[in-house]
Amino acid sequence: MNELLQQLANGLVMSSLYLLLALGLSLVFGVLHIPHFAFGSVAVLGGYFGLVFINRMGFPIWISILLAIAISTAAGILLERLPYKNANELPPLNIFIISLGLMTFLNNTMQLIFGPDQFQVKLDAGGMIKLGPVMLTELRLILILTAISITVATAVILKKSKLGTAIRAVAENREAALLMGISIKGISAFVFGFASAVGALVGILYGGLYSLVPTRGNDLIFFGFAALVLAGMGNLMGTIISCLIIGIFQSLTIGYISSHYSTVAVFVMIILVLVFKPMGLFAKEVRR
Amino acid sequence: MIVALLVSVFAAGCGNSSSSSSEPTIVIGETEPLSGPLAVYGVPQNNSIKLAVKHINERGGIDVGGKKHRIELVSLDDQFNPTTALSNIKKMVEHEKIQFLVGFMSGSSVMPAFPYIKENKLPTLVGVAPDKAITATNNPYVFHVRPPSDFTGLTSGRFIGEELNVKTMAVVGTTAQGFFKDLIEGVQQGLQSTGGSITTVQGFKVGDQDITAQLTAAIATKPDAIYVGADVESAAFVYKQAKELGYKGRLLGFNGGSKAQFEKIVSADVLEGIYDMIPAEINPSDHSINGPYAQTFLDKYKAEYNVEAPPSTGYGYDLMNILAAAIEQAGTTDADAVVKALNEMPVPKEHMTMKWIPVEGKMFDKNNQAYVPNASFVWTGGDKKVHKEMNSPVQEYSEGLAKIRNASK
Repeated sequence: MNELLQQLANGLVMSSLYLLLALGLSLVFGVLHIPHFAFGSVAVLGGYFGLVFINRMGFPIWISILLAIAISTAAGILLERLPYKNANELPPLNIFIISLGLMTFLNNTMQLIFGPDQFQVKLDAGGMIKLGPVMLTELRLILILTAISITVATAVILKKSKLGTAIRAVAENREAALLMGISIKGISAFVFGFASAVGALVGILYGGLYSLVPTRGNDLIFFGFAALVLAGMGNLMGTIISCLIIGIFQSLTIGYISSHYSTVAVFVMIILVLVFKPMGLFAKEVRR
Repeated sequence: MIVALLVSVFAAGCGNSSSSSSEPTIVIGETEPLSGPLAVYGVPQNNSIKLAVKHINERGGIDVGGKKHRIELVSLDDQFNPTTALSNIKKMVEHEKIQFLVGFMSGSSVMPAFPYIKENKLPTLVGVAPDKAITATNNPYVFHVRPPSDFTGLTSGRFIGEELNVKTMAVVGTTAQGFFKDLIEGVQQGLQSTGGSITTVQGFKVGDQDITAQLTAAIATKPDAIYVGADVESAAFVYKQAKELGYKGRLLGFNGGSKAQFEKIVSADVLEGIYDMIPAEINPSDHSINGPYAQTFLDKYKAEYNVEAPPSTGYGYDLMNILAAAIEQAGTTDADAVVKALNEMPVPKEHMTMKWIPVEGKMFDKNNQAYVPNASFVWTGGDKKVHKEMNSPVQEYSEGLAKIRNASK
């Protein structure tokens, strides 16, 4: 029983990472219809910003995190304004290629600057917390709480604020939103900036919990998209549940079957779900 | 990926251009993971090979039948991808006209190239790769300087049972890598001979960073010790996460990581008391288990790259000097003559950083395999200290390897 509880806690940590990634991806895809494959690399880049400020320049951790988030937000807006500028008018394949190209560009740039070695971001949160039979480090708990807080905050902004209403309006019908006087450019920039800020937080937390390596974003984005597809686009609660399913399913597969089958098992499960529910587990019904 | 490859090719090109075009040259190719998950070993091996080339060229080059030849080194990045490694080799043979091949981090990178190496008569010296299959498979052109993992595993298993008093042990490692199966078979055999047993074997992939699920399963078997068979970066995560999960037993390993390599991921206190059982690689604080050139090499490596040489760099440096000595002994760069020289040569007297054990007076045994002693190291006060030289049954191992190799003919 103790082993099972610990495996569930291990899975919850992974679920939290996937949730933060899926949140950023979901916003970008929902509003701009861009499959932002470079998002994992953006997250890792944010982590490297944190690493430079904390490890190399010796800035206080909170200031470093805020600086990394600020730079990542600006970088995100720049991405929206430059490579993705005409994304709304391009065929899906072109956007797909731009996104993949961007991912490769970012990975190689990080490789050139930081080299192939792995580096841990020194977050100074390695203290142990014992919750009954479950052991967690402070940083793992911080990651779980961060994922919960940001998800709740995003949900509140989307549902209760004017900005959220505008974002939802752009996501549902760009032309109508434009006619209602909503700045599509402004909303797009906000969404990209916000997603990149969340990405930076993921990168820093990931770098503190594990380590940063230039190509790590490729693996992260894989599971972020998997969670979105499993949930079905446009359902926040569904995305949360999907991330929980994937993280915990992975942990239990590794713990009780074999690590060699964990990724395969996750994707077999997703394919099976899509066979019976092609729009995902929690997609809203679409009337044609 | 493409940029990294271009940079690598460019860098190699710059290296080549440093030699004078009027002097005769010997072109040597190298393929390593210079990026990706095993770059932690690939980059240092590349550095040590480049340094050996530099030193040999500074000494005037290789004497081939009375005429000095400079070495041109072409280094390419295979990203620990066997397909890329094979493509690199073909590219270097067909376009760069390499005469010899060196490097490799894993049997999975060099073994797919075995037919091509044999067909093209390309003498190949394999460095850090710990796979037994490299010399258990009969290819007269391939020589292996690092002792296979089970050579160390058997000795380690006995040591763990007898000296560390471990009765039950869980194993966590990169089980899909070729060397791991051999290593664990050796460890298991050694531990069982002392009355101990392995409670579970938990695997993960090279590059995985969250090992908590495997460790939770391992800890649930209540082992006296957890043995980690993996690269230094993976091992760092295992050690750290085992402690984070509250594990209080012994942590043991087979990774050869240096302090600088570990400290990129974990703090020194995580390593306290951990044993590393590996071939006797270069140790900065104690050269009793190393070759006579170890300290000079360490100083020169630091001066060249501004970092301490990781323990495994001795293989690359010595490998290049062994090849140079073999070419000099052959008096020609003809592949078959150099292979014959490698088969017959004694351990070179100069520029050896490691303590090579001759087999019947020769550098390589009849399987083209070289040996150094096994040793145990222990992390104490933030440093990896030599604990003791372990039993290294070279003759017995060599005979066993020969039987497998002959069966592969």
